[in-house]
Amino acid sequence: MAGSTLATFYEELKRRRVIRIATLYVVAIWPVIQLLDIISPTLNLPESVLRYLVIAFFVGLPFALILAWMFDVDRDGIHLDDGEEHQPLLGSKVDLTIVGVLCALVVVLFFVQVLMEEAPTTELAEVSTQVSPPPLVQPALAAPEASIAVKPFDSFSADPSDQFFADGLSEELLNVLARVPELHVAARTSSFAYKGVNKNISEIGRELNVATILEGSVRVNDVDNTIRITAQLIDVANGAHIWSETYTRQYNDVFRIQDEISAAVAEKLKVTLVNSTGSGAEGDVVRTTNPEALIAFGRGQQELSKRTKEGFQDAAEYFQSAIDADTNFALAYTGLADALTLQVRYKFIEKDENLKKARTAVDRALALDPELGIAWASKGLLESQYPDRKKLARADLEKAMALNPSYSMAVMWYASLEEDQSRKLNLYERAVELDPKSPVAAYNLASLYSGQGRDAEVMQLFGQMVEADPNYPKAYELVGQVSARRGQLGEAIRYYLKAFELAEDANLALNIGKMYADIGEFENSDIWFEKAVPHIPEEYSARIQWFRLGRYVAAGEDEVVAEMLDGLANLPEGDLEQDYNRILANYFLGNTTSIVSDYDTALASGKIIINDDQYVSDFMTRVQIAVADRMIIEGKIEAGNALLSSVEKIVEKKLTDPLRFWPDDRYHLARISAIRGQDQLALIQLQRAVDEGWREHWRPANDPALKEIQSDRFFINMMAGLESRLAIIRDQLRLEAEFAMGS
Amino acid sequence: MKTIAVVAVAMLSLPFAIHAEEVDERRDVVRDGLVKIKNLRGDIRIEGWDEDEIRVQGDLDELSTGLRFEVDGDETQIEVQMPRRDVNWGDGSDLVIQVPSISRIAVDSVSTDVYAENLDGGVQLRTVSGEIELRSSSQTISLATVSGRIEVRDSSGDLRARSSSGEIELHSHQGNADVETMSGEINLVAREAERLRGSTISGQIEVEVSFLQDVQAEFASVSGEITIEIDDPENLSVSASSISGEISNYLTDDAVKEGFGQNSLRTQIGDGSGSLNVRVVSGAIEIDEG
Repeated sequence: MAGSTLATFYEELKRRRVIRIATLYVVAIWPVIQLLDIISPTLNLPESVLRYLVIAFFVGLPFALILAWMFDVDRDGIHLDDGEEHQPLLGSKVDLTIVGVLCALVVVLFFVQVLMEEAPTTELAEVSTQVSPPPLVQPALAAPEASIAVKPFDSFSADPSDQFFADGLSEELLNVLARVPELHVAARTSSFAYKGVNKNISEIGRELNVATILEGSVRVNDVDNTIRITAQLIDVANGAHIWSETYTRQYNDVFRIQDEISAAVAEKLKVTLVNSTGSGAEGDVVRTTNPEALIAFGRGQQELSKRTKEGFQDAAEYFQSAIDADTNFALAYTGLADALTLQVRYKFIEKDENLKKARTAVDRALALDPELGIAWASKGLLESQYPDRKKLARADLEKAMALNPSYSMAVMWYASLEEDQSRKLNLYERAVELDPKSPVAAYNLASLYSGQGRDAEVMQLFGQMVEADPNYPKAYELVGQVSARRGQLGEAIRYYLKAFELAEDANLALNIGKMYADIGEFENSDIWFEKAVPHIPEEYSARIQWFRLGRYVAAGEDEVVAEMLDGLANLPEGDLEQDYNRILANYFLGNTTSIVSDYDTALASGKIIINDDQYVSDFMTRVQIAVADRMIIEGKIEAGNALLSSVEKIVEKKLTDPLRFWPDDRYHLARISAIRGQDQLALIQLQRAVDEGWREHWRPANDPALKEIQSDRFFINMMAGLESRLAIIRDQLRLEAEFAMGS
Repeated sequence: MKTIAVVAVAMLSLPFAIHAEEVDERRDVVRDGLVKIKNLRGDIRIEGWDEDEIRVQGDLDELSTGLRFEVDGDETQIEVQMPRRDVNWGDGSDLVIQVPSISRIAVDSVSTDVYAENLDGGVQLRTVSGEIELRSSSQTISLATVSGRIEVRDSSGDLRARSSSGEIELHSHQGNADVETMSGEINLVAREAERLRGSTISGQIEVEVSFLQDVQAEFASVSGEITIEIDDPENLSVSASSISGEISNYLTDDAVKEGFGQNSLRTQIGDGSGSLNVRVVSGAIEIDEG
């Protein structure tokens, strides 16, 4: 009975052509999916489109069958099935033809895909190089054969914790692979910059200069505590899958899955995994089997990369949570050490306590795994905070680079210790090459370029920084500095303000105050100086006084100027910088009788300048020119000229140094020429300083060294032109503010 | 046939997965109001139209928390809202915003390419690492980017453009222009200006200009070359100087002088009521009749 019912149902399915439609549906959909799989990289389609289309096709099948059951299409049109046999619109021959064509299409597409997978990699790589402009630091022309980037695995969950779990998993895989000496692994920051980015594999591979990419997805099932991880290794040259695998295991088995994935990758890339990172006791200490630790570690890494005060604090807390969850998680200790040390390096916090904690963390990491390159880098960074341990810091960082050549932070921190500017530059370039998407690596290189006046390169790196993280404050600070140095004070103010909005900082506030003073916006200038001054350490109070002095000179507030100069002229005894402060203040006050003798006494005192930096170098030049001026006026012509020549040599050397750019140097040359009575030359040098971006318009008219040219018509016109240019900037800032204010 | 029709219907009726949120919203506004647009990443296209409404359509940034689109009197705020932190992955917005053509437009963006056209109420377009392209627009125009390029076509009014490293191109601008870049090049074709100013540190400047009575023009570069072509010069005094570069004068017969450590040229056409001042440090200057 049951058999005959089934036979009747089957006959009815046949009569309603449901079976035929099911067959045709599947045969029609298959080539569509195949075709999309082939062309999706060309069309730059995210993989999710293909994934969802496949789901859609499966969901569509029952609908198609229901429609087929309910409706009939014949020569009379579409109507509800009435149980009668009608003449079909197209005969079975046509149906068979369609099936035949579709089958042929399947075969053709299959061969196309096979051919693409076997295509020579070089040709496709050359084509892909034409897609977008190259990064600033050019990678090697061809990616090393054994090279890989680990793209952060996708998480099929709206829960941020699952995403951090996926990030942590990806990062651990990256770290395991990074320890294979013959394998080049793209750095974490750079790989992670492609999370969720709509770029095809060949673009990503070319930008990171790798031959293969490991990507995948993670699905956590909280109900039965299982985890499903899909991983695939892709050949960048042709987009072909070299290997793929899906693992469904218990949540806590993630460690074994990582092992299996890294082993499979190593086998496919024909490299050997380092024993210590494979399964076994030593491997265990690098990684964690604890999902909570993995999630906290991922969050910590993200916070650390921001390089802000808040970011460091949050990172330290996350890394501590990771350690609390797994006390044998070596990488979490290195993260904690870095977060603590960098707070000191960025002067956000006092040295002692933080560095002690950092040492405890880094010692623990190295005790857990003495061959962990990242831990040696953390130790090098820590040692570098002590002036007398630079040698040790260098040795630690060298060891880190030997153990993990792909770790860009080790190269970057090593570069910061390098005194030879040319070698320093090469190392910073290497760090960016290893990690082209790292904002901090790009920032350090850009800062060096900025000091050399290589503005175009700075701006290109700035673009890279902002693209990687539009909220990275240091990028805006850097553009503020470059703009200020080049005389674009409106832009300087705009970008300093943006940087301050993202991360409040006293030095930024000070710079904003100075820029406002230079353009004559004194009210704004006072507001920003007030924000800055309480946070500047006492040891820099004299420098702040000089900084603020310009605001009162520019505003013509002579009484305040005299008062401030008096304060500087009567500074208490201190280091050599303090003595020079008194000498320069007296020079501007006109208390010139003791300047030369004070200078000689200061020189003979054997004192040194404690905070020796670029400011001091420029300040020294100002003082020496002032002293030389007084020597000549007092008739000590020979000594005065000798001092002038000596300063001139230093300034000219600075000006011809391709590794340095500082517009004040040109102004100093103008002062030297004016003291020598070379008025025309002084005027040309002053004009050149203005053309190169020097903007302290209030200084020349009040500078005793320039007194011989202050009444020259050319000088007066030049200063008037400069003031009118600054007035345009002022008006423009006001107009822009009004424009955006509305009615 | 029935099969193919069923397959097609099934395919078309099924939802497609899209990462970014799609928007298509409209608001009635006053024609000459202020429209403030804020976007962090992606592409923004602003088009002036003759409707009394603003339409925003396209995809929001993948990390966006929503679109703020509010009208308050004559001011409209359009903001792709983003989390303050952790914007370090995913794709940016891709939006087309249609506004009444006499609205005033203020765009504040970061990693965004901005394209705008047919805007006659004044524009202030700011991006950081993106490009700016403006067409067929007038009134007060203020454009700024750091590392992107600026291109303007068929514009009129008072124009100010700033780019740190990008090229600035002004095609057929009618009115005053003040253009500044650090390392980029400047190409300027201007008509009927009273004031023209262009400066760059290391880039070149190429200017093609028609001078009217009483124009004040100033161009300066430190190491770049400056080439100026003047159509129908009438009343103009020219001053040019270069410390180490060559000066070529094809405008008049006056010779370039050497002295005081620099080359200089002073020449005059007609009553000299207009003024052209060109200055370089190490680059060359060429002044010619167009």
